[in-house]
Amino acid sequence: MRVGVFVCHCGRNIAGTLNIEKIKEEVAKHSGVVHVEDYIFMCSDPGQKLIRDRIKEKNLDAVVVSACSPSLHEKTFRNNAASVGLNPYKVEIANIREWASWPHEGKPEEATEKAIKIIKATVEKVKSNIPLEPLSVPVTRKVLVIGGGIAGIQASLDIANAGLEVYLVEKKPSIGGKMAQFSETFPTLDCPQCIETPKMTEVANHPNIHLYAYSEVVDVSGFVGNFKVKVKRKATYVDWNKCTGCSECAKVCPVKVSSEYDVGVSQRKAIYIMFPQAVPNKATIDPEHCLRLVYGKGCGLCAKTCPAGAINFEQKEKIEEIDVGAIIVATGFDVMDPSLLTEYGGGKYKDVISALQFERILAPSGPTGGKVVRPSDGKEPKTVVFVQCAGSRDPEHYMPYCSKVCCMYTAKQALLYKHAVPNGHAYVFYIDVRTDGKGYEEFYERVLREAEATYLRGKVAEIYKEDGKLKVLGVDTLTGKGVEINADLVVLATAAVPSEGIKELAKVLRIQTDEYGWLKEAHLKLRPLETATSGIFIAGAAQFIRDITDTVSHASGAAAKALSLLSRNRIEREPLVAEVNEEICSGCGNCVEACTYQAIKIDPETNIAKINTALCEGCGACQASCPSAAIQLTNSYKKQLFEMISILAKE
Amino acid sequence: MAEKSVEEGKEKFEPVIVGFFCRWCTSEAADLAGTIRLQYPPNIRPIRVMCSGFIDPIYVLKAFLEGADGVLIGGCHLGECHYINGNYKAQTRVKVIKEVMKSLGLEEERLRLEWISTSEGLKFAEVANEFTEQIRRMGPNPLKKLKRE
Amino acid sequence: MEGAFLESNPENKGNIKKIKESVNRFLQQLLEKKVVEWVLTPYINPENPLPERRIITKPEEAIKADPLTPVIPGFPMSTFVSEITREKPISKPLAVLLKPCEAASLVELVKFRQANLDNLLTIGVDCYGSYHVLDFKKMVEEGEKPFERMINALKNNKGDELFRTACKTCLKPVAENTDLNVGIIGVNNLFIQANTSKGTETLKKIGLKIVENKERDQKIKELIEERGEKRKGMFKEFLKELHGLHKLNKFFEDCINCHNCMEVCPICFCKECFFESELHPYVYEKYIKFTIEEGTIQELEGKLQFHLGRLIHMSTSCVSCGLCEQACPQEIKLFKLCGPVSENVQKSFNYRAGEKLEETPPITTFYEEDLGLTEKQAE
Repeated sequence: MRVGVFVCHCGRNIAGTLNIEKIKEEVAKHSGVVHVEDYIFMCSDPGQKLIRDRIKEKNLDAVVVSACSPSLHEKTFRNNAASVGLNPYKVEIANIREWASWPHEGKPEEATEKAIKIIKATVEKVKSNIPLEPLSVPVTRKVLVIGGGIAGIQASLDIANAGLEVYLVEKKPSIGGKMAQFSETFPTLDCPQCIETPKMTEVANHPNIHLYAYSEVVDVSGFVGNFKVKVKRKATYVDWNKCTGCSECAKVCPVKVSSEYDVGVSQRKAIYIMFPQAVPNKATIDPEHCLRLVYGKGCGLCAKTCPAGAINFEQKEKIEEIDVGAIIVATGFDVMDPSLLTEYGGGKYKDVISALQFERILAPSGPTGGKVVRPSDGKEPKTVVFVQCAGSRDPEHYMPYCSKVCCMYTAKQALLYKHAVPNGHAYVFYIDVRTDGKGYEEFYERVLREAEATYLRGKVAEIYKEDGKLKVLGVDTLTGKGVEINADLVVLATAAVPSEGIKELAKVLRIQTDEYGWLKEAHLKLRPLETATSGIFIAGAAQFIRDITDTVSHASGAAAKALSLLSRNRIEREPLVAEVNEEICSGCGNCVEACTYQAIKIDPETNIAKINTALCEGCGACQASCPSAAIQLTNSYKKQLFEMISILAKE
Repeated sequence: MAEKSVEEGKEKFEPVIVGFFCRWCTSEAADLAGTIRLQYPPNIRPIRVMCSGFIDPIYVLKAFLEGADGVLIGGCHLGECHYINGNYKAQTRVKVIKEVMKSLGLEEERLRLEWISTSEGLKFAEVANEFTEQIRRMGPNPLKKLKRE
Repeated sequence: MEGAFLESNPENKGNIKKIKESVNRFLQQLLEKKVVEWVLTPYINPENPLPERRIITKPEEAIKADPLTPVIPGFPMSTFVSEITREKPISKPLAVLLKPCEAASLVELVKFRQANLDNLLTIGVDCYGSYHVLDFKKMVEEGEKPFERMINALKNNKGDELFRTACKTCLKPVAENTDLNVGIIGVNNLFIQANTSKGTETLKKIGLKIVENKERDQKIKELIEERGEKRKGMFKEFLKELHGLHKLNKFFEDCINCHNCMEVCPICFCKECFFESELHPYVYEKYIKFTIEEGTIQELEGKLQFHLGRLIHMSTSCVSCGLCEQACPQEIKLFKLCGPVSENVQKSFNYRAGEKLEETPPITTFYEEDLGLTEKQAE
């Protein structure tokens, strides 16, 4: 074995603390090391050339670069070595910057000793590395998009327009998501019907998009490029091939249920179409409320009325299996239930509502036809109090984070309210007004002028009812005075929260969520569209609450990620996978149990473990579970670990 | 070590601690600690492994038998493992070793398991500080004395 | 429990010869009635006081079967079952007679896919205690009858100082998880206990009358309770004797690294022991290297690595048979180590090796809960 060790100074970052001469002297003595050389910046062009030259001159068959963390330049140095014919897996990095020079600046001698140990251990590792070629696996050039809100719609359209097939799975009967519930959107005051509905229709008619509405992803197996997905298509009890969306059924249905789409502001029937512009525009029976389905007999008025004969009470849910190469999760967000905010009378007083409910009341196509009335008595509210940060920025009680979109939509709602009730007055309680977007500050200024809203800096302490009036008690922190307002209607800008069921879905997808349930990105700054599981991407508010502009950009970004992954017919994977020594394996199956990816099976013929390398993620859990070293991880062999431990554990 | 600090006329004991850090969380946290120049004792000698679930209990035993005074295993927080549940496997295995060590009076405190995520550079440095101090107080691995006898 | 008495004649009470005859008669019937075609049992060896293990196929051979003999000669019966069934299930119905610890280790081996119960009729044999092979041989050579000695101890409910330590502290005098048990504890006449429907069917095929037996249940319970107390005290003492590296080192002072303890262990099923693999660093060159570098051969580490490493590998499934101790040519009291340590390990996982077939061993069960092993919680 001819190992070359290259010690980087990293300017003064390494050489300023560590004794480079001492390192060179000690490492040169180590068995197998034939060349040691230092340079000021190993990662620079001359530095890399130096390594290339020495590999050729000294006929090196392994290289250890003693420099910064492998997460920074491992690839650089491996590619560099590969360019002169040394297998990239015969290059290892000894991290002597983050792990030695930087954290032990005041202890140069000890830090130098530590660096020498790290380098020697790495030399031992690289000596037993075997040369490897990347694994090449074919990919399925189709994408699954989960969630049919604006993020899922945008991502689906981008991918479908690029020519790849998309499966768009939405759990509700219609796509459209939260955006379809909004009245008008800030800062342009576009109505979502005008800007989202065309996209929804495009999805429905796109030849490359398979729309699975009222469906849920229940199982995902496989790996990047080759996922197998099980989709549960819930029973709608209406044959959607026959249904024309005429809504005659809903007219005759005797059961009224609070409308999810209108957030309880109106009622829908037990058979319903979510909203007039729904895509697909098909009726669905709610099995929890339909008299026929609950009691198993009787009613059936819809079936009698339906001109298309589409009603089918016998319909069963079914599981469909699809193969895709990439997955985009666009499951959006929910808003905090106002009844959790008891100090504001949420859930207790009819006229304390959430901002999303107010969106429905303001919407021209909404249940009130855009007429602003309050829920308790249908009267026009003359005084409306908006409470921002209801459940946000409140680490003691609710969510510590800022829900980001509330400042802007509250301003918008104040303006729309003023347009609808010119003699009404809006008060807004805020902590800070955050207007960080293109045209946002200008819009806010317009609201202040045009809506004549009174902005009060402070938090509302309590909302209670006195003499039939809602009393809002707060403090104006700018004047330091207490404020008491008699309100006709209170609108709470309730915190945005991760969408319901996201944790279960994350488990199915084997991706992570953060402490609140927002999907966790691979890196907050540099890989915000990817999850840690390769091939699974995030689009929109599922990662964290964001407004429509950002959501659409984010979704297009995720689509681009998926497209770039699937731009080739095959993808390359790390060849660092498990391998079995068949002579030693006794077939106990400990590794089978330890493998999270179902990559190992015991061959029934030979009673020996067999690995499906395509499924192996290279975590090495199998080798830790094997009592006899029959299964090992390529280039993390037990022998290597033993040698490394042996060096490091000694004084 | 070349120079040993002297305390009350007695040579201060510098423990050797072998660290096994998963590459996705604790290794990254150690990188971060370095990057932001948090200072901690150089006694921990790290090995970067794929996952805490990679750690065969025999590696821990090996480290102690080769003379390590302490062993520190670092993985992602439960529920955050890059390989979904490798850290659950790690804790089961650590539990077996700890129970064996405890039963035989082999100072199971010399083995420590910590969940340290990518962003917890500070926690990494704190654990390194605390654990080094703890092992320093405990004194050398008794094996060393046994070998000298 | 339910089962059948083999002799209804009260005159047979306490007639030791009759107990052995009764068992053999039962085995004979199993073959005659074609319940099984083969019977794997300890068998009288004319050349040696210790029984051999033999598969008998003819009813008349059953006369020389010796399943009740109070000794485990070398390897446990479960290892034989593993050898026969590991590759593929046995082709013909086979009855196997197992002492309770052997039955328990068979359960563990099945969990690790090292044995297959298909086509097997497992028959546990009550064990009040067994003797070390050397004690057993000596007794026979000196004209004493170990079986009678054991039965007398059982009748007087006094135990026997000469029983192996593992047996004195054994909490499994009656096999669990077997189809049938040959019952000698808590009964006057030989009682065949049926635990499974397969067991009950067998008794019916032979034409035995099935009865309820609550008295035996009670007696067994009392014996286990009494043993439990004793075990607690003894295990505490054992661990005290081994506390700390110095004592542990002393304990292994005479170990010659022969690995007999591993060879005979029913749980050590590996084709190649990790500690004997080429990975094991204490090979020739290493000895030389260490000798040069450190001035001493690393004998101490070698021994500790083997014994502690083995504990880490097998303690979760150890069934306390104590055969390691019996196999040690240096008379190291290994049960003092593996008995209490394994008990602690298994207790910590709320697991008892050999108890339930459907329970997965701790090392293949990854508890998706926080086991609370970390010191520092995230801020």
